[in-house]
Amino acid sequence: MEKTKKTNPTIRFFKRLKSFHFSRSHYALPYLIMLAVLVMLPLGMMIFNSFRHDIYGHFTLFNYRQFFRTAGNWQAMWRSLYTAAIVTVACLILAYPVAFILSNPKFNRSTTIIFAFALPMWVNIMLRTIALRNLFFLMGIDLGYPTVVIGLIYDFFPFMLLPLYTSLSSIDRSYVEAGSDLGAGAVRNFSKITLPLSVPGIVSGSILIFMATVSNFAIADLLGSDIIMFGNVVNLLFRNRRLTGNVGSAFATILLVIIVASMLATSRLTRKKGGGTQGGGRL
Amino acid sequence: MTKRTETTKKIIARSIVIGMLILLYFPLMLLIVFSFTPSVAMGSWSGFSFSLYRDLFNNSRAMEAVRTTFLVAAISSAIAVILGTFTAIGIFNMKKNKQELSLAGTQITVINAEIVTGIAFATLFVAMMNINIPIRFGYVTLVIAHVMFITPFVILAVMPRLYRLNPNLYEAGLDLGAGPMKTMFTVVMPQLIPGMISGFALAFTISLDDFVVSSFNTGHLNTISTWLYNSRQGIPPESRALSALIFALAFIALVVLYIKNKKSQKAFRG
Repeated sequence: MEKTKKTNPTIRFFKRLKSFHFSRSHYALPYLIMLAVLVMLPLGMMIFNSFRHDIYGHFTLFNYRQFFRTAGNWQAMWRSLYTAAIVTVACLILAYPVAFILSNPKFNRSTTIIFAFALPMWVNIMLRTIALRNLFFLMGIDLGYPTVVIGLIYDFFPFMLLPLYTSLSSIDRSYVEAGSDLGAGAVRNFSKITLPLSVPGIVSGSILIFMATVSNFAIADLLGSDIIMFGNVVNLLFRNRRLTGNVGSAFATILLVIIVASMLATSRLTRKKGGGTQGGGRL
Repeated sequence: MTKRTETTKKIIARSIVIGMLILLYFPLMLLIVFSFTPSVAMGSWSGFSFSLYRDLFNNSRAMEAVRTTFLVAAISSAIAVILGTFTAIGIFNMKKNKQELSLAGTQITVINAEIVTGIAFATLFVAMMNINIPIRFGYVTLVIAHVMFITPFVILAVMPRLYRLNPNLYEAGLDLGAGPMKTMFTVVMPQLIPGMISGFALAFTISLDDFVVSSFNTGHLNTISTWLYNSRQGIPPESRALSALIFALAFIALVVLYIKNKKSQKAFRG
């Protein structure tokens, strides 16, 4: 008896529901569904909107042409991208020694001090930025591009320190001891053991900082007198939702494409090196 | 000889850490010092007074912003902890391929730029309004957006604990006659609590500190960040008092944590 001939789809659905067997992997279902509906779908809608004219609603590439038509637009994006690179590298250089020292039981055994570094995150990002702005005024420093960069580094520093610390402190100390027993010096130990094993922390910290810097427009507004970042452009376009919202969506889509492309490129690079990332190193 | 190099190393290490802490705290300290003087521009001292604190509590917009920020952070990180823990358990028990795919999926909001995520959320909410779903920019949209972008951090915090869990524990629970649900809640979950706590702390902190995603999804409701951003032409001096208060709160939490750590260390040593 073949029952699959032409059963009503609703009946079929309920039959499948009846035979649905709950297993532990289904605990992930609610969030994965939410992810599809509340994250993936909106991204798709944003991309869809980016091809529609704001006023007439027809399919068009006008919004994308708009990006290249005004030099200010792609200049702002370029500025944001290289600023993000500068800020990420600067945070890495500043945070790595601190994370290295704090994760080394020779120098530090308490976890409280790492919380001391995370504490400014509780004082809101805007309050931190305002604090810095006041400091610049007191010191008589004029606002401009350098102050924006300093502000970004200052605001996002903890976001680099925490993943670095987690990744460095999860390294098994016996590796380093084995290294010194076998005659490796401190420098060699660091370059051959500690640094490679802390790569997951470096990667996740860098992603966090890079994306936060590319996105932020408030810091440029508060700390740069007339520095326009990509975020400022997109924000203005999207604020004016009825008239230029879809242009803003197109600009955001361009950023999304750049992000996806660079992620694919780096993941291919790291995979070639064969460095398997284990659950550790993340935030 | 080596002992001396060890101590110099320690001194260098300590001074790097302390130097960074000073750099990190100096601007905030300055703000706190000047929260006790009523002058509008910072830097001029016009006598000690608590008037900025009084102004802060009388400023209804500021109070609304504080309430919104902490309420949204508390609600969304509470939801995120439950959701994130379940998701971590689910993903942990998946088969290899599905597991990699799902884990990558949950990281979308972490890897994506906040500005793209924020705009995408807003696009969805506007579309929902267009088809007459009764939703308005405000608490609901803020909480939905925050939950979606802080849950991945909970998953990342809980995941390592799952790997450290004894895989036979669940089977043992089943063998001893507890149902699958009961085993999950009474045997597995309690083992995950440390991960859940650090996940909550992380989620709460990130929600508190958020500006970009919130700014696209608040509407007329203000969080601390959007309130300050919207009044950036003349930053209200009360904000100095607000910084001082939040700082004091966080500092107290830090001290409590420190004392607790000290105690547990002592207990551990016997």
